[in-house]
Amino acid sequence: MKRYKRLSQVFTVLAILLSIVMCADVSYHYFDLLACNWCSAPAWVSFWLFIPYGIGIAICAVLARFFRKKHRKNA
Amino acid sequence: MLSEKIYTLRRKSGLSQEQLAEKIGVSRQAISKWEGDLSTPELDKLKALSECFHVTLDELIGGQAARADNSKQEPDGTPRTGADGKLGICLCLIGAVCLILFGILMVAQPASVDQLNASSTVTLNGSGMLIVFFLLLMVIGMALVLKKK
Repeated sequence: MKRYKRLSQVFTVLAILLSIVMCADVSYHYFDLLACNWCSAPAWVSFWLFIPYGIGIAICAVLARFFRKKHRKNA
Repeated sequence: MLSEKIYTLRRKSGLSQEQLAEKIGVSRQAISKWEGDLSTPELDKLKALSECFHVTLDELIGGQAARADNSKQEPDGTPRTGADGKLGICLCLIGAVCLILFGILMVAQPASVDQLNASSTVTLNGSGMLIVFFLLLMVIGMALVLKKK
């Protein structure tokens, strides 16, 4: 069914977009903290942002794979 | 439907319409009409089809009744995406899109995120709570989609 193929493509695109946004966010916060003189948190704290985005990417990847499998079964 | 069954079995067998037509001694157009539900095969052709696909006549024709009884199944037997599945897909899409938009906002408009953090009740980080909320939406959505019936 075409619907499953489209859903698989949508979740793949979302996973790619999330990974791009994750890289942008982490790098932005890293350099923000690095330049911050009065902040007590070290710059590496910005790497914590990998966790929520990583989970989001994993969920999108799992769903994309699930719908691709479903599409292949029904093809 | 019989037309879908013929199409599915032919694809599973890896045969083209021409090859199947040759095997059972009909024209390619006849196969096309059967698959398009424009006509139905005669009894002797049904028998030839069942022999060609190595299934019983009952499986070829009776499968329709079984499918009608169990309308919640896909042609391959997996559960069809129901209301829960659709809700799950929507939750996942909303969560992912919000997470992306929030990420862009954090880079493009850091002042608005600072305002959000400042307006947060108690001592919780407002932006952190939002990210957790979007993730929660995605996790619930995935659970609904992957839930076995």
